Amino acid sequence: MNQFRTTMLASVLATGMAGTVWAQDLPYGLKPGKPYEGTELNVMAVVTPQFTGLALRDNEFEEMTGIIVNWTEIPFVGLQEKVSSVGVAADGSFDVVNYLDTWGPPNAHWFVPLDELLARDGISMERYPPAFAKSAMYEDTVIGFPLRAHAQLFFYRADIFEELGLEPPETWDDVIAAGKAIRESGKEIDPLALYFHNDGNRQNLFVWLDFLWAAGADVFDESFKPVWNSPEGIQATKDYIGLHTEHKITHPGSIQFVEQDARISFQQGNAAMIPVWWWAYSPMTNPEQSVLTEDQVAFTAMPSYQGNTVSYAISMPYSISQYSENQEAAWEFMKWLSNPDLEKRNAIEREVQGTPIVNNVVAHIENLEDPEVNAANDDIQLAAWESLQNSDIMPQIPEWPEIGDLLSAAITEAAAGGDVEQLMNDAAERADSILRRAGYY
Amino acid sequence: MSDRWLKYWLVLPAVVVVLATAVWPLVYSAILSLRTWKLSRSNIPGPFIGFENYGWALFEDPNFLNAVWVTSVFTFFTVALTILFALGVAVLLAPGGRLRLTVRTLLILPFAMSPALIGVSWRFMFNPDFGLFQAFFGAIFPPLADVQWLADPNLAMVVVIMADVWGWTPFITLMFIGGLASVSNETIEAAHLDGAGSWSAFLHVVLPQMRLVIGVAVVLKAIFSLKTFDTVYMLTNGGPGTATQTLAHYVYFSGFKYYDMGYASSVAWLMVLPMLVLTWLYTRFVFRRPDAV
Amino acid sequence: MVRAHAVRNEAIQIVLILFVLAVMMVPIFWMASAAFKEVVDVFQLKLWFDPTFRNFVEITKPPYLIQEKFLNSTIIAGATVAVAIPLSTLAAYGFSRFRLTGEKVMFVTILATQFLPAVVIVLPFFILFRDLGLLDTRLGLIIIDLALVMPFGIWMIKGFIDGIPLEIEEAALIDGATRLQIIGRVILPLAAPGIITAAIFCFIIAWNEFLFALILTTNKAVTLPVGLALFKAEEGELWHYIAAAGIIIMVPMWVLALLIQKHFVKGLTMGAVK
Repeated sequence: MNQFRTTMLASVLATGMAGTVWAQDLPYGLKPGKPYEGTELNVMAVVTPQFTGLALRDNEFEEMTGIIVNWTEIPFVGLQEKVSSVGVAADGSFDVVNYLDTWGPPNAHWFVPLDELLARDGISMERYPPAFAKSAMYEDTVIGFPLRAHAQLFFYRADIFEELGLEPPETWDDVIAAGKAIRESGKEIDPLALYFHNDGNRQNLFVWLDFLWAAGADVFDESFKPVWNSPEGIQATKDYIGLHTEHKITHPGSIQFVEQDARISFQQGNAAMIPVWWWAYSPMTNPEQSVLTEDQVAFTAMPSYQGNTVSYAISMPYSISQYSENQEAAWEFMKWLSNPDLEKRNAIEREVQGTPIVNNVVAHIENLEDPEVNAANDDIQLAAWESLQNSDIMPQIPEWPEIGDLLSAAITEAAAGGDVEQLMNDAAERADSILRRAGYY
Repeated sequence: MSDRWLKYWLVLPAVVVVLATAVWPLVYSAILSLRTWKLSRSNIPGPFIGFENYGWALFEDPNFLNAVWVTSVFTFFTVALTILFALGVAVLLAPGGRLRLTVRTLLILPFAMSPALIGVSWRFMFNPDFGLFQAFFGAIFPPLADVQWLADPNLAMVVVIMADVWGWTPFITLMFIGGLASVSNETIEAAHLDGAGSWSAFLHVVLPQMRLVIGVAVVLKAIFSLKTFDTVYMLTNGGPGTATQTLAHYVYFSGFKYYDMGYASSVAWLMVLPMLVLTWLYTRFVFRRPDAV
Repeated sequence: MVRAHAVRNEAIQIVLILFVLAVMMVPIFWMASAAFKEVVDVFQLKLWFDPTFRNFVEITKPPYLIQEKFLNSTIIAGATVAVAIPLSTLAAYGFSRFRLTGEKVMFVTILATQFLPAVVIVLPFFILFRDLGLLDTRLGLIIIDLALVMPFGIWMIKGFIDGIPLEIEEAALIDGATRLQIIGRVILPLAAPGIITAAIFCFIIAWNEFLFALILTTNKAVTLPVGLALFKAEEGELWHYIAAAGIIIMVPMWVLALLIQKHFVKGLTMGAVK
């Protein structure tokens, strides 16, 4: 495998060197002269308006390079399995795959490392916020581009806040105060919609991590020993769970809600606040999906805890398969797919070749700060950039899905009234034995 | 062709198809359970590690034992309730008439909904804001109105069992209606003539003649209950915590979500043992024929 | 006195039947109603709403293209049943009426093939099919579905054939009929309810099969359950689309059930006349 990889890279670099002799008259570092004309690439991706918008425009890519792109849509619920099967097949059936960043580490052993290609073609991962860049890396090697990446935002009902004279919350204590005010006002709406159910994608950890990291605690230490049950970690967890059990400012359904249920609750006017991904803004203000109007929905960056704001970021990167027989052409595709101009257009233009596309996801820093992008999206990108200033991703080890699920189950039980400290300690013990069995120590 | 040879030819095509397509994976997965294979490390199975996977499951993994318990409870209640309800409904719907015939055609629908669809649908029906059943049960028992069904370990189990029984009972009812047809009317009339009431006639005359169909239904339902994955996955994902995590769910997650196919195979084979016992017992029961060739 | 008793009995039964009907159909109606709602109404407990057909239109457009998946599912499940039921009926008769060497072992092994959850065998099949060129083909899925349903078909039909008394066959044998003639003219009509039930079972199992379809198909042979899974997106379940697709699936099932009721009832009454 390693030998193959090195040979492949060497030949790509060599062609690259030869290529740079000629003038670069194609943008995004694409090779002029259509050297891969006629190649067909097979790309596996989930269905989402952002990717539909990109796929519809791939005729532009074909015009520039002569490379044909075949997109295969995979349901998100089957994506993890399908990507694994591509790895097992070890044939060139798919050249480029899209996946959730948590599944990067387990599959990295068959993704093409991109560091040298990036250096050769002058692309830097610093064009992304650090958390986004990290989500497409493994063991300090870049394995993909974070095409679809999200920041957390705190959404709230502008009308209710105005009515009760509340300011947009800046700390979680503000959230608690606002929650209590809403309860006392007697309004028939629950203050905060959270999602504590263990849904299989570790959704109930998304906000927990904000608390944990802000408290200075972490999931693992450098040798991957679980440390979430440190005193600061336990306190942070207690405060997170306490939103429901102690302060009781949550929608009672929060203990069985998954993220979608919580968003629906907000959209149907049954909850006044929700911390969730930035893309939720679009359905919240869409009259076909929500009873709320645009004036009623406001957002701000994630609140701080104990004086710090750290937020969790997530992404769905694209990577090149090592078994692909068209790796160079696939790299050309990746360069085009991820370029900032295309991303900007995809977040501004609401229609592509007759198909309506509503997408606010951009991953490049320059686009997060771009005034035109923000103008088209109610400045949500700037708010997201604020959340992303200090953000991180979940631990990048192949065993994370299993350990994360342990934590997720513990959080669910804690929210339903379990002993937080004991649950966290039990989870740490279990994680320890799992990692020990996997050979970490 | 004489019966002596015909009987094997009758059976041969089916047996060949089944053996060719299904026995190989059985053997393969048994061997795989003795190896280590992590999809996150390699795309081909790794070296042999003997019974290490089994040892881990049985002695070191609390989630495995939890899944065994959950599966046992789930299987017991779903099989018992399905068979009982199906028998009752079958007796109800067996006679003719327009109403009964109409209802009989509808029996196919709940089963036609895929288990995943049933899971999603029932999850929404217990949503605290807009769930139909949430509202319904709350109306009947006011104390239940504010209960979060899917967040309580016991109630979540109740919901999962309900959803499964709901999906399967109509179909098993169809089986039993067919089974009731082969109960000869003469025996029932004879029992009535002897002075037996309907209930006694049912217990002592009808049921024994239906025992073979009931037996098939029990084994069938038990096997599917033991393999239940989609409904649990969509309804509760094994939650809250691991309160509804069946063995099939655990096997699936171990294999595809946690990338350990070797371990998943071993847990799957541990599941096979009770099914083998159940099936073997039933086979002995069913092959007791007095006058076969 | 007896008549009043009988009438009251029947009245109770009708109440019970209606109750059963309600329990069976309410969840289905609730789901069906979502198919005609706009998304914003779907997540409310509303009895009255403005219906729309948009959901049905949307699911036929890319990327869903539910009609293609519907076609694939129909062909695959139909072919599976067409092969499985005749073979299973013959085998069931053989197991029921004859004593074969090793019959118990054969019988248990046949069913044992279905003990393992699909997840542990899907990847070996994936590699095998890749080598045989069966990936993303309808034939590949038919083979898989046959493996899935035949054990149950054999078991179920045998259960029904076991319930048919031997006297009728013995009489026919004495009259000079061959075994195959007996199967065709005596067993089939009497076991029709059982065979039809087994056929429905096999069809629905093949129809709803998800994991193999997910892993073994990509573009051309994608079936309905995988298509339906597209409705569980990043945002969560697109319940309005799932419901619309659900209706498209259930209506033909129900029509099928109506059509086969005729044979079902015929078989039932034939048995009663004995």
